[in-house]
Amino acid sequence: MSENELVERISCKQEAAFEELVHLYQKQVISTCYGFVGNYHDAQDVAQDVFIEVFESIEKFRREAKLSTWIYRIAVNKSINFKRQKSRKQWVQSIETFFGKGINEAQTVRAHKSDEANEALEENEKKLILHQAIDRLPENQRIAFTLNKFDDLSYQQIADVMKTTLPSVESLIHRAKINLQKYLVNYYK
Amino acid sequence: MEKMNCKQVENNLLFFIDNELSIEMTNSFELHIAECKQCKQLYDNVKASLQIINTEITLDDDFYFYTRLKQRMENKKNNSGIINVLPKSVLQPIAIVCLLVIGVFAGVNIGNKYNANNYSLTDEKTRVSLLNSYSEETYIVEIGNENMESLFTSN
Repeated sequence: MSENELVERISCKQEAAFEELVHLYQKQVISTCYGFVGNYHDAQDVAQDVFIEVFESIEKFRREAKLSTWIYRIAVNKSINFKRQKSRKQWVQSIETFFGKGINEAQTVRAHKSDEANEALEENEKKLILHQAIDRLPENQRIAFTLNKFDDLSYQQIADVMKTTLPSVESLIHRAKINLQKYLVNYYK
Repeated sequence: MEKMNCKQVENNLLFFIDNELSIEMTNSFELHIAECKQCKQLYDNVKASLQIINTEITLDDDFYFYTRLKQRMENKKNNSGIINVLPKSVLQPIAIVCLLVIGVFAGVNIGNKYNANNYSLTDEKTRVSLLNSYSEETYIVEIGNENMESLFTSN
């Protein structure tokens, strides 16, 4: 089925067409979301939101760009919104932790330290550091870097998703790498 | 060829890992980390961190993803009352505003009732006091109309 045909059939709310779309883009969408949220289960939840949005808003797709570009845009926006909501919830939870009502996730990790093999713990720590470093990047740098590294998109594809120019994307990724290595170097030193 | 110093190595780590340095800079970088243990360790750690991206993106196929998605869309369709359509971020402020309005309205009503009771009591006191002062004035005026001598004569 061609892209236009797929869009037409989904606009008519044909389930088979929607299922095909989900199978086609499932991995990329989850991967994109994972790059932003850093957690596989959250990434799946956000990915579901993305596909629901695609289904409900397919009539708004103007076909000026490729369908994949449009889906990536929705995935990026949903992931960023999810992160913002999660930060607000974490702020509330940190207050609860301060008053002794909640359990900090970091404390949970430390409590289980003795139960995990050193290697697995090291890998978890590296994963956490990497995602923290990515989270610290300014939003546009974070989007460009994540789409490049986690989705393996070309700079031109990223420019299409972010509705910007190719030189702008090159600049964003360059600055993202500089900032990222600063953070990682400071941590490992 | 000039060897890089530690600071230059730190500033070019990611670019070296991504093969974005010139041949000359790449060789210079390699020469430095071959001799500097600290920089070699740093390079290994940063590279290991970035390699996590490569392992993480090879996600297994989730065969039940579409099933769960379909279920969620069904649930959403079945629960599409006005309360469920509106997001929490809209419902909460509306509820708070309603509570505030009810509270203010109740407060104003209670306040008005209290003021009404106090007014009738005050009004009664004022009326009695006015009556008393009128009586005194009448008596004094009446005294004024009488002859002074009549006060001292006895009948």
